[in-house]
Amino acid sequence: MSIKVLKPGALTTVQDLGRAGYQHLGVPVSGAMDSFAHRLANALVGNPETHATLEMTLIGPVLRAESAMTVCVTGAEMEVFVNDRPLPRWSAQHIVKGAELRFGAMRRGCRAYLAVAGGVDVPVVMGSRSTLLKNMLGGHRGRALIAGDVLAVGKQDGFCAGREPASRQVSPHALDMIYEERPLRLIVSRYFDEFPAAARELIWRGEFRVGLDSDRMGYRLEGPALTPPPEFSRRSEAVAFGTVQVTPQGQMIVLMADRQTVGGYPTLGTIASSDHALLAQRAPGARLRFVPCLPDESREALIRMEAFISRVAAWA
Amino acid sequence: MNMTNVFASCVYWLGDSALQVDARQLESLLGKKAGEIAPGLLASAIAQQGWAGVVDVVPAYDMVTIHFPPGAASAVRTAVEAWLPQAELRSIQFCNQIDIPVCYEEQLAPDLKEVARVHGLSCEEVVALHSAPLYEVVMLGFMPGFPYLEGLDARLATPRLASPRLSVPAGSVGIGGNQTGIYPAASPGGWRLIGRTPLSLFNPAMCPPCLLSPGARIRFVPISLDQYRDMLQTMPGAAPMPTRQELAALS
Repeated sequence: MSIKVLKPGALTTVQDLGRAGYQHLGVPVSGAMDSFAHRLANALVGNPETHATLEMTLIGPVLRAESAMTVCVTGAEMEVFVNDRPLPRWSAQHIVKGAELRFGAMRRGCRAYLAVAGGVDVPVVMGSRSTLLKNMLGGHRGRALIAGDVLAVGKQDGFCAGREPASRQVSPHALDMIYEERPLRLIVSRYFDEFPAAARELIWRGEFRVGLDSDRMGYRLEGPALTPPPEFSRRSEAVAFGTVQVTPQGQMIVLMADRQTVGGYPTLGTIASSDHALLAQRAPGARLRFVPCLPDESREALIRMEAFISRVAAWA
Repeated sequence: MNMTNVFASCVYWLGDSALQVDARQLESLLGKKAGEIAPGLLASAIAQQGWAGVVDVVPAYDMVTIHFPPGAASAVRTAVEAWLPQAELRSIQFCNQIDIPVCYEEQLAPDLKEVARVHGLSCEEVVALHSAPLYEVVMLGFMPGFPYLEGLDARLATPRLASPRLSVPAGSVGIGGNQTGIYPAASPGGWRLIGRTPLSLFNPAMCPPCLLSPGARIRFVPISLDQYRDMLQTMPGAAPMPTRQELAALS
């Protein structure tokens, strides 16, 4: 079974949940930017969450199913067509051999995920199928998809055989809680108090925008400049998904999936995990605001998200 | 005062999916000398504990970061705070010493003359000073396999280039400020290039994928251009990672 790429879209890459266990060697984690959407797409087609999906950014590809398969599209709101007929998102769908999948422009959000029963089958490199673009590592030949690429699809295990795909559907309303536009919960870093008072107020009151030069490594924010601590002498240290750095010029950078493993800039804090999906869907030009959050304050939201994913996975 | 609370003071949240252990504060709490705890050693000791949920343990200059899924946060925090007071941190000499052959000849060392001139030294003196110390790999970061080395002779500290090169060849040995290091793969870079190694520092097809790891000690060993060419051709896995252009030409 395979999928042929007829048009690649703006940036389509193979991703899974990321490359764990090698950050101490300087290897970035990569993986799906919106891991929630990725996991749900896999759950809906009966895959383990660790299977690889296609992450589509802003403009989706045109794909052809070279054999009949079960697929699911999640993430950003957009129209999906199979052979020119609308395909519902957030639900498993059977498509026939030769079917052409087309994706309209993304409206709410900027990243969508295509899961296929059996998973996108590219070689596992250092434990993961995720693509690390900067180092041309993993995924499909270490790069974004181009026209003519053929992606193998893994063998579908018996897991979801015999279950009607239409029964596996997530109501878009249930997703509003995760994706509703709201300030991002920021857990402050140990260096937060070293920032000048004006910066510490501006982070909560200011409105920022995701800059056009943002990418999978990080979002460069536009908006009021934040003065970093005048004498910041800490040496490079590890960072995480959602860590917010401030450059000497006062620009904020929110680190994302392909971030380097360590950084030397002062950090304001790290965005709570419960808000990572929302963060991943903020397109270039989108507004961002921040609200303070203690490390265990996002726990309830996280528990709800995990319970939600488990329920969906249990349908298959 | 509860012993656990005291050690909690050197543990910090990095968001809700990571904890940072400050090695310098831990040193004070354990009554050790400043700089006595090598972060690579601390990271290794933590990784060996095998606490459920721990995904990555990443050493840096002054702290060790433990990454885990958010659901494992309280369990990992409890385990860390319970372990730290009696942490056994014997100084293990790991990885012995790795000799890194480096060709310092002009064709592979575009900035060597300038570094020598800036410091009022001859090229030979720069090579001698650079290859004398036993360096310690404090951490890896910036890119896969890139070592942050401690031990550069202060007489060789040279500011980075005002304009970084768009592409530094894989295997390049450089000086940036008071640090020295090796680029495992072609990359933009602002360091002063004073030599090149034929060794591969990062090969994802190998296990382990990196030649170096935190805590390793290395020495640079000068080799001639002929020896460099020989090693490149004859050592298994010696070829540096191909450049993006080379890879693109292959696909």
